[in-house]
Amino acid sequence: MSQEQDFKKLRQKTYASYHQDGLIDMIIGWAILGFGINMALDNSVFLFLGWLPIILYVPIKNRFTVPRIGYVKFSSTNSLILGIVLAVLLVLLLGIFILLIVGPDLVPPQISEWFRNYYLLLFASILGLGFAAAAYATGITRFYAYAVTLVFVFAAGIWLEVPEPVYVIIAGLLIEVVGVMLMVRFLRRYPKSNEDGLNEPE
Amino acid sequence: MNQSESSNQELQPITNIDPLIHAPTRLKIMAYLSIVESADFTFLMNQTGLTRGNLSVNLRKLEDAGYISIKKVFVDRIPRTLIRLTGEGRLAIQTYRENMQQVLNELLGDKE
Repeated sequence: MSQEQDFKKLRQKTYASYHQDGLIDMIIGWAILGFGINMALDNSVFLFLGWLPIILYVPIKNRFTVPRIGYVKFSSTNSLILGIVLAVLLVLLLGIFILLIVGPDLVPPQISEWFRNYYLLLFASILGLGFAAAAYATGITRFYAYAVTLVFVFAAGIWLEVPEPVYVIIAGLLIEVVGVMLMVRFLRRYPKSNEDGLNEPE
Repeated sequence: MNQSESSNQELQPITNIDPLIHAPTRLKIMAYLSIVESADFTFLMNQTGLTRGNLSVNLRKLEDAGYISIKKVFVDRIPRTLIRLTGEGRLAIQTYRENMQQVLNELLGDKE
């Protein structure tokens, strides 16, 4: 095993440990849930409410996680690589929606038709790719499970002809529930520490 | 060159190993600090599994050697003891890894 691999493993272990609180899962699950409710009720307030917790991520992390397991700042190089991968996937997602909304005439009718029928499966696949990339980069292995779950739930929903919002909501709920369970376990396992600092050596 | 001299020469890289980093507790601390930009005392204590006193003593030793810097700062209005590797510390852990690899290669006969 090379030294680089050793350090990569340690980095991933540390990253996974910092995100064992389930907060990131709750935020992602909530966003998907908001998207699903928005589809069901055709009310974009829920889409906004779904994305709202993202701006609260840092304050919540500082309020609940940092006092329990401490504060860490990861090197910016890793965050940059992950950011680039996620940005590429986001551009792909936007591309699909723009193609669907603005330019259906730009592509052959068969492709346009396929997009219209299976755009949510494509959406789930790209989200799944994002989860898989994040899992590979960070070592948070449960993200692989989310990737598979998303594609499976969406594909099953389409196959069983379940109304679209239902399986989007189910996928969001699944991730949300895992996040809440992780948060509860985290809060039980790590009591709040009021002390931070060095003891003067005796 | 007799067998004893040859053996001594093979084990020569061992003398290059930095004893300050080689101690398991300090090696743990240095390894964790080398993969992050900075971490606070509580985080290091949780990750390394060291007690408060043990971690304090070893951090002081690493700070005295110039391998780490310790600063009291406010992160979102909360006081934190932030610890990070200095340039010298980063070089020291890199050199330690290279020397250890060399020692292992010499001992295992796997010269690259």
